[in-house]
Amino acid sequence: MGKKSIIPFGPQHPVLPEPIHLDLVVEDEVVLEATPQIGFIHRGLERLVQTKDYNQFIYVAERICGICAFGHSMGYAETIERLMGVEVPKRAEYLRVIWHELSRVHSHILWLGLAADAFGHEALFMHCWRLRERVLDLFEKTTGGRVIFSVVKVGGVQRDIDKSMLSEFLHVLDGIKDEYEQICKAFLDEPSVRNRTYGVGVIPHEEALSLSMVGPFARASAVNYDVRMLGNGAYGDLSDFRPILSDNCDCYARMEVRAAEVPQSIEIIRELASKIPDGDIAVPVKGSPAIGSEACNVLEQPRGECYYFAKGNGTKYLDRMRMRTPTSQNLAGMAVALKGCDVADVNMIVLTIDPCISCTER
Amino acid sequence: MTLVQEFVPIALADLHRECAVRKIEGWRFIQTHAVKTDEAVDLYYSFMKDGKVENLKVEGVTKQDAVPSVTDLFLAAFVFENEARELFGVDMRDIAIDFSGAMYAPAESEPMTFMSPEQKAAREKARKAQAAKQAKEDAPVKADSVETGGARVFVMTPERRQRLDAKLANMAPDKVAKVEAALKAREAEAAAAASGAKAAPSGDETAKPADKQAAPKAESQEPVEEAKNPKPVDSVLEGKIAIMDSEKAAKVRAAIAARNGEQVDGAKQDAAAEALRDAELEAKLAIMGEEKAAKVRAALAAKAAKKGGE
Repeated sequence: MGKKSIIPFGPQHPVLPEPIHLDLVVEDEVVLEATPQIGFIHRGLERLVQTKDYNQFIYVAERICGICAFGHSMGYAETIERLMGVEVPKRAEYLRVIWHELSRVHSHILWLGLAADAFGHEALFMHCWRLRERVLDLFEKTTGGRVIFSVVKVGGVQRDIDKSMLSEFLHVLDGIKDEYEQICKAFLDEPSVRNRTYGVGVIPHEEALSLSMVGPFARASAVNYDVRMLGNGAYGDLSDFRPILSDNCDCYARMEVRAAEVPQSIEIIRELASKIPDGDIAVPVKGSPAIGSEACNVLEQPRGECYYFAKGNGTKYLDRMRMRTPTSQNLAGMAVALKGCDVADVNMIVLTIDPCISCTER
Repeated sequence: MTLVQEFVPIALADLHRECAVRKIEGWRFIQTHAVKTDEAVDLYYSFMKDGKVENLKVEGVTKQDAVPSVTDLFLAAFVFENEARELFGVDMRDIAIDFSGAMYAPAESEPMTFMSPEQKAAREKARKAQAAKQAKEDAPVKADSVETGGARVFVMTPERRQRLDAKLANMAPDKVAKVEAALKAREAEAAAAASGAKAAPSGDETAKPADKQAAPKAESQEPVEEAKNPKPVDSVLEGKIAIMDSEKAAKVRAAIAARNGEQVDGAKQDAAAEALRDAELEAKLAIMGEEKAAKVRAALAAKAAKKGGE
């Protein structure tokens, strides 16, 4: 038996892209305990809601995180619409979901690239990010932005996507799909990748439930939960939606789930593009949220369920806006997954929760 | 949207037990957050089961209240509980992963509890506006009011009159006069609305009979009756004018006259104003003591004589 020692890991570390610090208690290269520490990039955006009116705050909301920017603006707008009892036109709901699923595609491909980087496969990383560029191009064509889109507003969306553009979406996504399947083979069938991920960072199903894990991280432990199955907004019009689950409960399962969610999102976009109704893309929203009015909302971000809460006070400024992002919910699960792993696997496990510390701290 | 949301208020003492019950029932813990209110902090604990989001709400948590941690049940709450302590100053006890105030380590302690004077003023204004709106909505629904053709109008019941008389007994005489005038105006308004609702179309014609109905009810000592414009003026308006001060009343009358297309020449207007002033004076004198009234009359007579002499 070796001596127990503590290895500080992060917030600036060559293999960890996120500003999170871990105190790893190790003995003979085995992690006995891991204590996460965050707080390096707290910006107080929830506080900012009291000085920006509810229409302005949507631009702050989407700057919470560069990858799920669209999701945050959509989740925020939906919450305010619930708070004020605004009925959004059907076409706007469809457009939101199409963009949101597209951002899931780019987020998951980005994550796969980072995972490839984490297990040392740099060429695979570059292939993934090359594919992602084509999705970003679609965003640029329809919204004008590649990271921050600013197309959602309270009451609907700012821009429409016409028929020809929708068919271009499908054309580009079809092209991606073929190349993507080839890349996935490397992720899922390559023995060297399996060696790094198979049986690493296991969280059993029961533990995943009691740790209240969300998103692909939870679904890889066979937790049958995805906010999309509740059928909010245009998700309710899907002919069939089943969360993608895996019961391997390890890093490989997390990769498997995310890899399978990309074609699923492409299918959702295809179905909604064929069903999208004509009509307005926004309704005017007037007045302010009533005093003491409260509303909450959940949305499936690429990283998992995000919870929003808003409280009005009769002015155009909100009393409180709360965003509980998926990573903050998964930190406990991550700390548990790190117990008993090798020091060399720490970055792989941390990465498989797809951490976004910017979201967590806001 | 099919998401069902619910906010359930609970007591701080029941918090841990309620969370334990939800754990056994298989609810999934979503999150915890705090909301700053005027006096204290409200804590929300959110759970989800079968597409329903339930938010347990612990209201009025002060700095003196020790809040038990729920991290023994749901480890995921550790981030939120540390957050509530650092940003809102909530006294969280026994958190499983306790940062002791060093998670965010904000430069200013409890930054989320601060409220600028502008924010406070804006909230106060919104609250007042809502209270006024509420009062406006609630007022006509009182038992003493009745509905007539969609519009709610005032009705004087014997009980109400009794209550009013009791109040008036302790008031100063000038105030009593004002109250009576206001009351008469409201009665006139009610009568006008009632007659309007019965059949007649609208305008001054409908107001006239109402005026006649209202007039006998008025007490004989009511001085403003004398000052009434001989032209048919809406009885409701007349009531309102009666409780105005003389200058304003004159202006209003002039405006009404102009609106009615009346060609009022200067002299006529002067005469009207004079008559109004006299009437106001009479009204004032009526509520004065007799001695004082006599003095004022004497002074007035002297002034009039002087004016005449000039």
